[in-house]
Amino acid sequence: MSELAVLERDTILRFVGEIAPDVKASSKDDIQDTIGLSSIQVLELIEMIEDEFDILFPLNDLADIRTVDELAAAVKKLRDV
Amino acid sequence: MNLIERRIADNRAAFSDEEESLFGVTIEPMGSPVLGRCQGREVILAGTNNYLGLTYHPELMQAAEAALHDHGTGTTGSRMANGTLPHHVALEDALKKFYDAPSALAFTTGFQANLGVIAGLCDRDGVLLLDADCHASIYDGAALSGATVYRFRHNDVADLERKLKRLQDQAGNVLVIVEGIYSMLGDTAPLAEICDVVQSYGVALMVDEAHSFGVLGATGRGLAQECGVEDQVDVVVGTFSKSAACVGGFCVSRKHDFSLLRRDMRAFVFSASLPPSVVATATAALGVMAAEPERRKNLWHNAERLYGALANMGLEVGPEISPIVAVTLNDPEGAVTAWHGLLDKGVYVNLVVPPAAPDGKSLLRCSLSAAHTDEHVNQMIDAYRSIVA
Repeated sequence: MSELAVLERDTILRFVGEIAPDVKASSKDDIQDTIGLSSIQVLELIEMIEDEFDILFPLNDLADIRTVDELAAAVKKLRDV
Repeated sequence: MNLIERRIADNRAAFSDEEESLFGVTIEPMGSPVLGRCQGREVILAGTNNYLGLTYHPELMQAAEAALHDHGTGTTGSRMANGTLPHHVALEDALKKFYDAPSALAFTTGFQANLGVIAGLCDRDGVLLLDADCHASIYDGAALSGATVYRFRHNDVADLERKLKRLQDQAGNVLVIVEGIYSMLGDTAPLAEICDVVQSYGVALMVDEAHSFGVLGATGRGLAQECGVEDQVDVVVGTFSKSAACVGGFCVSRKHDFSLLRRDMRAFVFSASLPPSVVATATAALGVMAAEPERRKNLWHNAERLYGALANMGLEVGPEISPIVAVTLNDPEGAVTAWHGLLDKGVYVNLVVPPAAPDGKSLLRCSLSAAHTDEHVNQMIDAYRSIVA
């Protein structure tokens, strides 16, 4: 992950903590398989990210994203457009 | 382990034997739209989406029998090949008349109608903006289309507008999709407000009226009719599998000639068409819907009674009175116990557990019918009271 996506990564980890307070998540963790977010919780996370960063996140991009770092990089890319 | 063995093993690990046994419970029909036999006991069917109770209506059955006898069991072909019989044309003509619309297409299922319309309208240049709670067939149609897919918060018009504002440059490629009545909690879309926003941004709007067709509106055309905004909706998609008591899907448009788009709809082009008996049933159902408006009245009478009684018991019901009355429970185990409790009292409802139900919660989802009597509804209320006690 680019170092420039640190803000996005930290924000996403904070949101993950709000959605799944019992999980100690790391940015390298797989969002669904390791952290254990359900598909519906992932969509909830996307809503929080869209609001926080004032972006539109295409659901199509989720297919290629597994980890928090990958999600942070995708968010950063959208913010930079 | 090959792919298939691994997938089976994953599912075996993910679901308990009890969950497996509850998936696809068998209902034995008993010659009534609202009575059946489930797990060895006679039950009131309160989870079948048979809103108008037409499954044993004599006109529908006679139409089906005559078509079966005269035209055989199936068409053996797609609509674009040999699968268009005069029956299909008659059904589409009946739909046009029912909706007062110049254009109507019949599909083999409601699911395929959504796949066909969405993927037919949108390609990689398209932009889809879906209500978050849209049905799986809408999400699958969106994925199939290759369009860029966004969602807005369920029934949140302000969020829809925020997102449309960001998409202004692509307005000519945007299709917004909402539903008339949402299938899980029975709530309706704020369609008049949605139409205002959609009109102001100049984007197209599709409404899936699967659960509202036959249920809402002065003549049963759905939420768009109920809200007086039919002329602002670009395309309505619906199904014959609920109020029309058979199977099949359709799209109608008062604004556009969809017949010119049908060759773009692969689910229309490459699926075997509906058999004549089903097409005849759907056509007859449209006639009965128009001729027997008292069915809609009785449906809403039943909805008001059950919704009010369950709310008064302190159960967490949906946000508005609806023929879908869903009770939210916090834990799946408790929901399974409650579902068995209702069945023991002779009432079958749908059990919805995570991940199908959101937020780790579970639903006991009841769908009422015009064919339920006051006595049936009393029995439902008593059954719910017994699980609350």
